[in-house]
Order: sequence, then structure tokens, then C-alpha cells
Amino acid sequence: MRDAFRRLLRSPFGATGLSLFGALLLTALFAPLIATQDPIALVPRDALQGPSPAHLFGTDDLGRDVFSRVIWGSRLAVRLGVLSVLIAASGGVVLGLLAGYYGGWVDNLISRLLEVVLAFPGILFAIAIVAILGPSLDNLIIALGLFGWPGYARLVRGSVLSAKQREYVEAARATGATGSRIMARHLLPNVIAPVIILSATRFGGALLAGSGLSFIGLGVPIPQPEWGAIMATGRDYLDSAWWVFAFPGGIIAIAVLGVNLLGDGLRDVLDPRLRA
Amino acid sequence: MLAIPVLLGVSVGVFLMIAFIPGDPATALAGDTASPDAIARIRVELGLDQPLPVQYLRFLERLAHGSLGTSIRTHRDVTVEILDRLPYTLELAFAAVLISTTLGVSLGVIAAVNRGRTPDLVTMGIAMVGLSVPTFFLALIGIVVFSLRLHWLPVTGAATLGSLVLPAVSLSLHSAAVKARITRSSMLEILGQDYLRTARAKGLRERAVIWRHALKNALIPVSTIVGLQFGSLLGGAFIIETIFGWPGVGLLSVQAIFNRDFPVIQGTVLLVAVAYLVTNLLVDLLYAWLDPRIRYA
Amino acid sequence: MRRWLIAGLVVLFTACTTAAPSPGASASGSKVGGTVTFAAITDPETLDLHQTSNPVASTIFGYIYEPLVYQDLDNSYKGLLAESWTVSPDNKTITFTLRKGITFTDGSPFNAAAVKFTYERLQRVGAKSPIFETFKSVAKMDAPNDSTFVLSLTEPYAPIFHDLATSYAGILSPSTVQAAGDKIDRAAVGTGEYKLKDWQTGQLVTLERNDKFDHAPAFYKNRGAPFIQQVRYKVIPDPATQLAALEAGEVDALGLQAKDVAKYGADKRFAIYDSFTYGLTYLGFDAARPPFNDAKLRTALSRAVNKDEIVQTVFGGTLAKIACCPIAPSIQGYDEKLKQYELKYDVAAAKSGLDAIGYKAGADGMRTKPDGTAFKPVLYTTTSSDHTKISTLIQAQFKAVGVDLQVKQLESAALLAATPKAEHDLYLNGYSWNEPDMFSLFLSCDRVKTSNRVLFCDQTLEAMIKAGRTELDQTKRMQIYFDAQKYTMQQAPWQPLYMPVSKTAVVARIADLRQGQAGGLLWHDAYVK
Repeated sequence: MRDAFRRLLRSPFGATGLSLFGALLLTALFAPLIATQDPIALVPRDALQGPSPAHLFGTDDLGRDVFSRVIWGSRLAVRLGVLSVLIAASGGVVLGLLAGYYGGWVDNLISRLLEVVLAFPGILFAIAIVAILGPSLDNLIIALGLFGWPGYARLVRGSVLSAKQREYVEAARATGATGSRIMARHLLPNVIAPVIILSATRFGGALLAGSGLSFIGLGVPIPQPEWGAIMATGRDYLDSAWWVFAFPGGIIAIAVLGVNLLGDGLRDVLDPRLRA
Repeated sequence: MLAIPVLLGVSVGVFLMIAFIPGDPATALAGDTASPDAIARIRVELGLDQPLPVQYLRFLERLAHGSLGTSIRTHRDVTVEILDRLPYTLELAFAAVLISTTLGVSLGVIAAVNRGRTPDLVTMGIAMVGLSVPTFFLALIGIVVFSLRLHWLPVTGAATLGSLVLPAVSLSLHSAAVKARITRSSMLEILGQDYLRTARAKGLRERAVIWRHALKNALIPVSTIVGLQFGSLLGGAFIIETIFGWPGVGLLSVQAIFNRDFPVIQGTVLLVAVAYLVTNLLVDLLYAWLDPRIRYA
Repeated sequence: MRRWLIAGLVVLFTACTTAAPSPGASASGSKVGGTVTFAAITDPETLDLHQTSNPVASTIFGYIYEPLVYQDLDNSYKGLLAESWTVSPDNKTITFTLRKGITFTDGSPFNAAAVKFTYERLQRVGAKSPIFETFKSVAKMDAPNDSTFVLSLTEPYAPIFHDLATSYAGILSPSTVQAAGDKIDRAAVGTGEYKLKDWQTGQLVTLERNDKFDHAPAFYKNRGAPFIQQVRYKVIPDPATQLAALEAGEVDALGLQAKDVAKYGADKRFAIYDSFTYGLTYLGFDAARPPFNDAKLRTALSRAVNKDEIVQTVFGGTLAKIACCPIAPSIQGYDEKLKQYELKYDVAAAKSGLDAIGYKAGADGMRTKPDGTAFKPVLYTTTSSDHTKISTLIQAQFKAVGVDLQVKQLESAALLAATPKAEHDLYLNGYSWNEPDMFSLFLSCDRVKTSNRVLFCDQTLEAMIKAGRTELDQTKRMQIYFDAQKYTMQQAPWQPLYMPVSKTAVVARIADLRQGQAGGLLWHDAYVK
């Protein structure tokens, strides 16, 4: 592991990605210290001021400091990314293991269910979930997490199908190990690396999808400073107070870029080991 | 075909969604000032007072006769509503796929051929940025720059070819980035392989070698992406359609959800599911077709 | 006349110039010609005026269909398709004398049979129409001859003229309706100043001038057919895109937001016209649900609302006027003398009021309920950007008096379904109804399951509502509504916030466009230069 980490740091993409992702996590952690002002304090007479030393990213239409909102928004972003990936990964991995190992009707059933999820238009599903459960970050996370199941399940299923033939699995079965034991001890470790790599991509995907949904009003309740929601408040001022829209958008891009670079770096580091 | 159970599953999914979603077409139609009596009457008119399983069976029955039902809002056949929008969605989808494939593959080839040198880093840098920027962000910036500041392109509507440019380009950038990266890695994989060396030994020019063999091989994974992209675009790119006023299926389906126009919701979801399954099938066939050809090349 | 006002209101949604402009005023001096494009936020969906309450649809069919009466600039009702009428002494029978010599655009004659046919159809299929309930109080309708139409009511109903003047009460051509098998969603034929020419679903609706039109209301200078040859409605679902379309010249007129008023006011390409609305936005308290069933809590919290800050911040001080009372200043029944009962912004009074009923502040500055449990009231509202801003402001204003307000924004269908369940504590929304009988819709007991979204049911108010609805004498009626408003302001189920005002930017090549005193812009006189 340590060896892999060191190799990750040595590759330019991986190092950049790791630092950007690290910066995101640190910002989220230390948000109260980094933010210069209260992210929900309204100062209407200061509305729509451009970037300045007092307001690094300017102010929005209610006079809130955009910089502080973006900084606090990193907490929501990290929560969104991490939790939706966890939900997607845990559900998807379990389904993939079951489908790959047991095969037969179990595989058939699970694969069909996943196809149904994939065939369903995403945005309608998200709107429905928010309408049914109410608008909140956690409900958004649930919707995004459920969408991720097929991706992980397919990956894991494929890996399991190829690993199933290998000798150590046969040997384990011969010694009477139970299905779940085999899955946990022999199949799961093989799958961890690609799952981690996929998670990096999905983290970025969750940030993009989440901000898109917030942007159209399906996301967090006011006054939470989710990045997409901040952009939504700036929607009417593209031509004038462009900073309200531009800065959060840029930050989203940087965060997703970081996570994508990290994913690339991880792939370079972890993949050769898989092949071996 | 195996598609049937999936479609059934999707239709059940829609019904479940409809069952749990708060608010029904009657409240949505009746508007803000309606009386309880009016809402009750509308409900009876629409058959919403029937239990849900009965409604589902009626839906299946209609479907078996080839009808998707009637829109609650416009009283027209759902099929007609969809067909009114489908050409625009297809237009946008084709344009986006065309642009993203051309752009993506070209960038990928440039990168692969110039591996390690500046063009490679630049094109892959662009691709990385394309992957990371939110689509609606680019779309809105595009409007401000190209429509409002430069007046090169119209802001709204689907009337002219110009109005297709911004929405199609916005939709294609993310996918172009994915295709660029895949093209590059696929080509690099091939560029080092044996049969390519053999082909080179036979005296073909370097350029022809690259183009004919590596590219063909790289197109396999790219075609998979093309299929997936097309399938998902047929579901409509709602945010882009809203921003640009593009009258496609995506806008129709989301408006149907907000209006609780159940027949339209069912119709569009089924359409998207069918499109997804069909494009997947075509991609699988394409994959099989491309593959053996390479081996004999 | 209400239709013309609605037309003005729709200008709020409009803007879009045609790609192929048709020629304006010709060299010979005729003002006829030209095309004006407006923006619509949705497709009309259906032009069947009995089966929709979609505002885009009602604006468009407002050009096509005409009702029997209109509302004049002085708020009185005058005849449109009706020439005159008489009311029986018991106030239960209205006999209309209809105008002669008018034809529908399909050639068939307008007569009493058409009126009877139309209203009977409304009773039959019109459950979705905002005036469906009106015709519930109609006992009988008669058309003894071609130009006499008799309406018999079960009891006197003062708002009848308001309802009959809405675009929803337009008269249909029976021959077209029958020919279309009663499906007139796309077959719209009326007696109005424009005809439906073309409808590209989800994109564009085109209306063509009815050159045979000859009976515009007297407050117009032009009593005949309109000058503008074509009116188009371009569907642009996104408000910011509508503004971009105005800027790019794809739309000819658009209602502005506060942030754009200065910019377009100075822009030589446009002229700005003012008009007011019949709307009022209010903060409501769910009176059916503890703890807001306590009037003292409602009055205390009402004083925490800084209406001036809302009007200044969200509307730039220009696009809204502070409202004191449940009836908007533009509607009959509004009375300045009611201002004294307004629960004005007073932080100290709010705080002491809350203290007095046991809502004491805890260590963190936030108040708890008298029993010590947390007090986190939830405000339900729409997802519109105005409501988003207003709720954010109110949230901060409540925080300043120690109340931790939660905000839940729901899309329309979900909101309509949620309020009857009384899960909400507060409600932020508006109404738009040009009749003091709005009380029947929004504050009466039998609407608690639907349009009364504060679930306020009070027998004293109920009696006043009933009296106001059946009183035909203007003076007595206005006194009843004075008392009703005073009572409502004391009970405070609503804290009225503001009445929206609109400013419309119109391209300079439109001439002779006037501001109507009673709400809208008078497009009928305007022409394209």
C-alpha cells in the first residue's frame, strides 16, 4: 500500500489530483476557519458587489459573501460525494458479488433489475425522489447513490465471473467454505482496486449531477450553500454580477478535475498490480 | 426478447413512482382556486378514483392495443405529443454525437500519435477540463458570449441551424472528452502490438499503418460510448432543453412530471427505456461486427 | 375588459420578435400590419377555455374568445358581447340584451343560443375552470330569442359580473364545437379580435388579426379591428432565457425584473410601460395546527416581518408596493383607513409578544415553546426565485427575534397537495383575483381542503363572507368587506406583504401603446411603425 501511495505521488497527474482532493477535504474540515464571513448573513445593502479584498468572490443578490458560501459549500460537496459513492458502492458491490458468484436465476434477476434502473431516465427519478421525500441534501444523496448501483455491480460481477474459475476459488470450495466466506475472503479483495478507481470517477459525477439538480431547484433547502444552489441564485445576473455564477462553477470544475486526476493516478498505480 | 421483462419492470417502476408522488393530476389541473367538489369531479373524469393496480392493468391493456393513452393536459394522444418533440430530440442527439465523436476521436488521435509531447499534454488537458466542467455552466457561458456579446447565434428556439449549435456543443463536450481519452489509450495499446509491427515490416507507410489499424481498433470502445450517449440523449437533456427552449422529449417529460400528467410520464419513460435497449442492442451488434474484421485486416 | 388586462399581464411573460417580420405601417398611412412577439413560459397545452387554468392559455384564448361583459377603467362593468342588462328586484335574475350583427370567425352568427350552449358546456365539463363554481349558483338559463339571454341564480351573487368578465367566460361557436366533436383544444373559434392561425406545439402560437372585429370597449380609441396584424407567443421556459431573447431581439416585449429596470430604462431600443396587478403576496399561518392556531402567536410573529426590506431588496423598491391589508390596493374593497390595523414591523413588540405567551429564548438565543420543546416552524412555499429570496429574508428576520424558521420549497403540484394536509406552519404565496369575494376562495371554511391554504375557518368571518357575496348594494358591500378585512387583520391568519407592480419593456417601434389605469397595457390601439 505504501509503495502504491509513493508511486501515486510520483506521477504528475496523481500528485495533482491527490493535492486537489486533499485541498477539498481540508477546506471542508476547516471551513469555519477559512471562511471570512457568515455564509448565511444577509446584508442587503451590500448586494451584488464585485470581487474585492473584503469579498474575494463578491456578494450575491442578498448581500451574502460568495467566498464564504463556497467554502462552507465544500462540506456539502464532500458529504454529497462521499455518501453517494458509499451508497452506490456498497449496494453495487453486494449485488455484483451475488450475481457473479451464484449465477443462474440470481444473476438473471439482479441483471434485469439493474437494466431497469439504467433504462429509467435519471432526471425524472431524481425529481420524483425529491417530490416524494422532500428537498434535502440527504434525499439527493439517496437518489444519486441508487443510480450508482449498476455501475459498481457490473464491474464487480465481471471481476467475479473471471475470478470464479481460478484455482484458489475451486480449492476453497473443495474445503467446504461457504459462499459468503469465499466472496469476502477471495473475491472481494480482487475487486477493491477497480472499485476505488470507479469511486473516484463517481465522486466527480455525483458533484456534477448534484450541482445540476440543485441548479434547477431540486436540491438543498435554503439557505444551505450547496455549490449548484449558489449558481442558481446567480442565474439572473450572468451578464452583470457574473461572479455569483462563475466562481462556484469554477470551483466545482476544479474539485471534479482533482478527483478525476486522482482516479487516473490510481488507475496507473493499481492497474498493473491487477494484471500481475 | 429479453427486453420485455425490463420494459415491464420500467413500467411498474413508473407506476410505483406515480403512486408515491404527492399530488395527482386532479389537484395540478384544478389549479389554485378550485373547490373540493371540482377536484373530486376531475378525479372521476380521469379515472383516478380507481385503485392503482386497476389503473395499471388498464394501462397495459391500452398498450397491448398500441396506444399510450391520452395526455391529461392537452387531450391529445401521448404518441402525438411525443412525435411532435421527437424530431427535435433526434436532431439534437445526432448533432451532439457527431460533434463529440469527431472532436473526441481527433483529439485522441493527436494525443496518441504525439505521445508524451506537447500536443498530447494539451489535448488531454482539454479533455480533462471538458470532463470536469458542469454542462449547464458551459451552456450559459456560451449564451452570454456567443448570443449576447457577439450576436453570432440565436438565443432560443429550434428554428435555424444556428440555434442547434450551442445546445449541441454543450451536450457534446463531456462525451468528447471521454472519447478522446479512450481513443488515446486504445490507440496506444495497439500501437505497440505485434501485428502492427508486422504490417510496418511489410512496407506500408507509417501513417497508413496508424490510421488503418490502430484507429479501427480504438473505434470499438468508442462506439460503445456513442451508443450509450445516444441512448441517454434520447431521454432528453432536460437542463439544456430548458435553458435553450429546445422543444424536445426531455422538456416534455419533466413538464409532465411537474403537471402530474401520468400518461405522458409513462409514455416518455417507456420511450426512453426502449431507446436505451435498442441502442444497446445495436452497439452490441456493431461491436461484434467490428471485432472479427480487425483480426483479418 | 378583464381580458385586455390579462393581456397586459401576459406581457409579463412576453417577448420575441419574429424571424421574418411582416411589414409595419404602410406608406399609405394605414397602421395595419406588423408582428409583435411575446414570450410564454409554457406551451398553452389546450385552448379549450373550459378545461384549463393555465395562465398562458387564458392569455391566448383571451384574444380569441370574448365574454359578455368587461370591466371598465373605473371598475364598473360594461357590456361587451352584451349590449345591456337588467337585474330583477330580488337580484336573482339577470336579463342580458345581446349585441346584434356579430359573427364568429367561422361565419356562424353570435346569438343567445350560443351563450346558453357555452355556459351549459361549462357546467358539464368545466370542473377545471376557475369559474366552475360560479355556474353552480345558476338555477336556470334561457335564450327566448336570438338577442336575449336570461340567467337565473339560486341566490343573489355579487361577484357574478366579475366572473362573467373573465376570459374563461368567453363564448364558443356551437357549430365549431359540434364539428370538432366537442374537442376544441386546438379548434379555437370565437368572436374576438384575433384568430388562431398556427400552433407549433411547444414552440410558437401565431394569432392573426380578425379584420371583421368591430366592437372594442369604449376606452379604446380604435373601436374596430386591431392594427397589429400578427401576434405571436414564443415558448421560452426559462425566465433568464426570456430576458436574453429580449436583448437579442427575438422577443418584442417582456415584463422586467427589478435588476433590469434601470438598464432597459436607459436603453433607446425600448420604452418602459408601467402597469399594476390584481395580486397580493402574503405570509400565511396555518391556523388549523398548533401552535399557530393561537392568534397571539400569529400577531407576534407578524410584527417580525420587515416588509420594506423585502420590497427594497427583492423588488428594488419599484416592482412591488407594501400591502397593509388582505385585499390588494388595486382591487375594489381596498380602503386606506384599514392601514391602522396593519401589524407593522416592530422587533421589540414581536419579542415582547413572544415572551408574553411563553416563547422564551434559550441559551443559544433561539426561542422554545412554552413547554420547553424546540420551536422550529416550517414555511412552505414555491420554488420561484422571488419566493426563494423572500423566504431567505424572512428566515433572517425571524432569526433576529429568536425564531429558527425552516423553509421547504415545493414544486407546484406537490405544494397544492401538501397544504390541505396541514403539515406546514407557514405559507408564502400570493393570489390574483380582482374581486373582494376572494375571501370565499382563500379564507372560507368550505375551502379548507383546497384553496384556503392557511386553513382558517372562523364563523364570524364566515358570516361576513356570505353577506358580502350576496349583497348587491355597493356601499353596503364595501362596508361588509371593510369589517371583514379589519377582523382578518386582527386575527392575522395572513400577514399581507406586497402587491406586485409590473414594468414592461417594449421595443420602440411599437407606437400608441398606452397604460390602462386598471391594470394592463392597451395593446388594441397600438401599431407597428
